[in-house]
Amino acid sequence: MQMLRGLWRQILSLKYAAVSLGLLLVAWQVSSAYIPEYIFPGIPKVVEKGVVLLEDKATWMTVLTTLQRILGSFLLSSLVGISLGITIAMSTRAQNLLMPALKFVMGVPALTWVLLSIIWFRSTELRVWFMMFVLVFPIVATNTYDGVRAIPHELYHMVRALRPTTVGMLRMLVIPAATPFIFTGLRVALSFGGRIAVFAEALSASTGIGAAMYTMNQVFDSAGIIAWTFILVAVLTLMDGALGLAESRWFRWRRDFQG
Amino acid sequence: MGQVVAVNAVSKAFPFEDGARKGDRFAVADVSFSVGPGEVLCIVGKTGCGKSTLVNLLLGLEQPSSGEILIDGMSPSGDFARMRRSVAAVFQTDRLLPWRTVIENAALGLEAAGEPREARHAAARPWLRRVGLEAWEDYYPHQLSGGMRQRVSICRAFVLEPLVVILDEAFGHLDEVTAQELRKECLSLISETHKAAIVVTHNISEALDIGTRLLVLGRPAKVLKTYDLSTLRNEAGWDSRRVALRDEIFQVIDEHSGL
Repeated sequence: MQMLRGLWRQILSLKYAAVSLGLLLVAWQVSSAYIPEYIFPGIPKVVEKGVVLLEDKATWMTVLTTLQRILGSFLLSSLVGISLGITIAMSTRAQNLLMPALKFVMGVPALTWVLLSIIWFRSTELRVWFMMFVLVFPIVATNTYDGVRAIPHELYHMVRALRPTTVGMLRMLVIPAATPFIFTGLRVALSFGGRIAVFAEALSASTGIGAAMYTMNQVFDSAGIIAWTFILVAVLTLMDGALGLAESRWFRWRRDFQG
Repeated sequence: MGQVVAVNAVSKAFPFEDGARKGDRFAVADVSFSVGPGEVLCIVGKTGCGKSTLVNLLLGLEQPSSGEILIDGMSPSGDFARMRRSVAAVFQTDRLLPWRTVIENAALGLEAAGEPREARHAAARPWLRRVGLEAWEDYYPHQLSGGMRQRVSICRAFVLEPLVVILDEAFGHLDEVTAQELRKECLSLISETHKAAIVVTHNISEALDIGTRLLVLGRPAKVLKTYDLSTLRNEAGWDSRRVALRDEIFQVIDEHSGL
């Protein structure tokens, strides 16, 4: 009975999603009728453009290039962010030393990093990696930090009384307890980082989705920009889905959690 | 009979600052006692009298400001890694790791000691059987009742086969029937394994029933009075003496704890 009700609720929520998206599409199509096509193309034009793109092998190479940049930089940011977050959460000295620097890095506008990295690095890959990294690792670090700080004192004392090594403490308590926070950080970092990456590509690279979109911009091809946007959103959604899958695998232990 | 636990004139002060007033506030003041194998030392006192600080000192989570604690000839805070498996505690709340199964929680101390998985599970199983949880080893804590969870945490302490078991208000969180049951089980485990036990409680009746010796603490934690219960219990007229004793202890605590 409860399962049926759950299923019904899911169908209902899907129905709402369909209605809201449908409304958006209608508004799009209607408004495009009143605006010149090169500025705001209608749905058929964008679909047509999308099909042309998807049939072209070069599109897939472009997607692959961007995907590899996003994944690489995301991995690096995660590694650095998680280690940094744990370090500053567990050691007062590290916190005193590194927290101000982290706060400073977070305060620097994205534009500054973009402009500086174009001057600093000649390699396109380095530019994109750096821009995404420097904007994304603080997100992972602060989420991880919050997660570690949220560990109940009682649990910490209990484990500490068992006298594990530092590695043991990390494995038994700190990392698993902070994992929900870390996942939140990673998902925000990925969606934000993915958008940063194409932004960086548009400004500083000649390959990748961002660069392709920038080319479309140069020739006033709005339909192309929108079609590429859909491809980008699809890529990011897939990646987020993969992270979500990993998250729910980790949360198996509370599949029927009631509290 | 050699003493397992020797506490000699131990004080613990925490610095405090309150506007212009600055100084040390004593949580534990000049406490001495010793516990031998097979002894059950009960410590009673008002809430906030520094009992938990005393427990933290015994677990090596805090260092005494003055005086000395020796467990099996070693200092709990000094010989931190060497003292692994010497002391184990059962706390007021179960403090189980929610992402670990029952058997993994029960074997947590052995994991901290670096035992391989097979060995630690094999060591934990008999203890789980002893408290009637052998069928539950693959369940997660949230799937268990409060009493069952506290049983797991009792296993977690006994699996270590420590020299000293500390019960820190271990039954205060449970309903009276379950508490009574667990108290019995715990005591038979202690006497069977001939451990030294320190039972911290605010329940004077409980202390009178299970202790071989009883320490009454004032606030800050200093020893107001000691009762040799194993001798008293063997004297004639214990039942009526017990009631008088209970009132006497109440009075002692009330007179000396200020506020």
